[in-house]
Amino acid sequence: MKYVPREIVDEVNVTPVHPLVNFGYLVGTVVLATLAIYVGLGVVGAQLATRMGPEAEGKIGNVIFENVFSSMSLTTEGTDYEYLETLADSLKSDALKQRPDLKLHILEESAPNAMVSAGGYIYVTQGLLDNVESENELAFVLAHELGHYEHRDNLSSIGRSLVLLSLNSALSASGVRLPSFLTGSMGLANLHYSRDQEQKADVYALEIMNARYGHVDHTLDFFKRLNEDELDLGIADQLLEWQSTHPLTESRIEYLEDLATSRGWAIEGAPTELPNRQ
Amino acid sequence: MDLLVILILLGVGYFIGNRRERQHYADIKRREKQTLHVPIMSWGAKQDLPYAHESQMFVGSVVVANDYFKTFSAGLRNLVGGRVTVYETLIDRGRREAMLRLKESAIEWGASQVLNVRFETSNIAGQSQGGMGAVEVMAYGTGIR
Repeated sequence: MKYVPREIVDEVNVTPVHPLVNFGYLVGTVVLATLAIYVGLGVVGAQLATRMGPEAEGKIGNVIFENVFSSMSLTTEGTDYEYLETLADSLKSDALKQRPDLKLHILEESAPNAMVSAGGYIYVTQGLLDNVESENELAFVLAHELGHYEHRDNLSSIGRSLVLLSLNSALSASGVRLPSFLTGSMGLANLHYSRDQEQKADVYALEIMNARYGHVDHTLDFFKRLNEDELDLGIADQLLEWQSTHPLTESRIEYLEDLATSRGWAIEGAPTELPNRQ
Repeated sequence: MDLLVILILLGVGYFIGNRRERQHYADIKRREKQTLHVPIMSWGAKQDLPYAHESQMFVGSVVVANDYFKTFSAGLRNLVGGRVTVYETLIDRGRREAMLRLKESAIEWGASQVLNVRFETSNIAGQSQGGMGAVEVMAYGTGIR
């Protein structure tokens, strides 16, 4: 047989696809899938947040506590603590009694702040305790956080992480564990609330204040003081921190004052003193 | 900022990588035409080899690196599965270039045929996670004259 040299013409080993087309297809697929998962998790997270039972909520609260807060310096004893605990428990609405019990912690931080995390974990900084001048002020801050708790804002704010956390606690019974990067501390400390959520929590707090003290005087003094002190550079950084997580702006104070007037709540009254502290 | 760096790397990878690839293919095609007159033959173990005065082993070997664009595309491809088309051209270029180097050295020696050519490939670099990959393609065969 005679050898007839023939040129390689068809490149059968190379798929005739332009690299950019291929790249576009890949990026598109991955972006779409990511988007679908992200939106899906968001929807499921929001549903979970409104429907979660107290037991599941308690479990999730424990996980978040272990991951995020347990490493901070916390106090759970002393007269301050006992006083705070009694005060917080007395501010619970009827709906809150169906939810996991409050687990109060005092954070050793100088910046005044308070927050509520899933499962009834409430954190109050030492800075807040040092800065309040009457019980009314402290009670309003606590009640505001309880308002977030009752409206489940603390659950919906962790939204997508909530799905993964629930999945993890549901799976852990069968011995399957999700990779830790999915359930790690990422986003769990995110306690950012929308304006609307803040306002609802304010209203809840003010209602409780009226029921407890018979008037709503002095409850907002703490925030007014913070707003006035804004020019004082000494505490400006603390203020920034407070306001970034908890902006109680002029407009919100005005809204609350209008609300008190329209509902006929007494806006004058004597402040309740704080108990003597060491 | 990170995104910008990635985009720059992708751009460099795509434009320079693609340009070099086209040049390489043009070169390969030209040289394949030049070396076409020497056949590559394979013979079984129990077949008689063609009569030859002299024989010598020839090796053609080439190392081709992939660019960032290819690495990135292949990484995305890893998520969805399927044909990694960006690497097909890379490997194809490697094989043909190795074969050409083998043939060219054999032709220089004066070979009339090259018998029983075999290919070997191996990974160079890119063993660590996220590292750039390069592939070595080696072809060897017996030239006779």
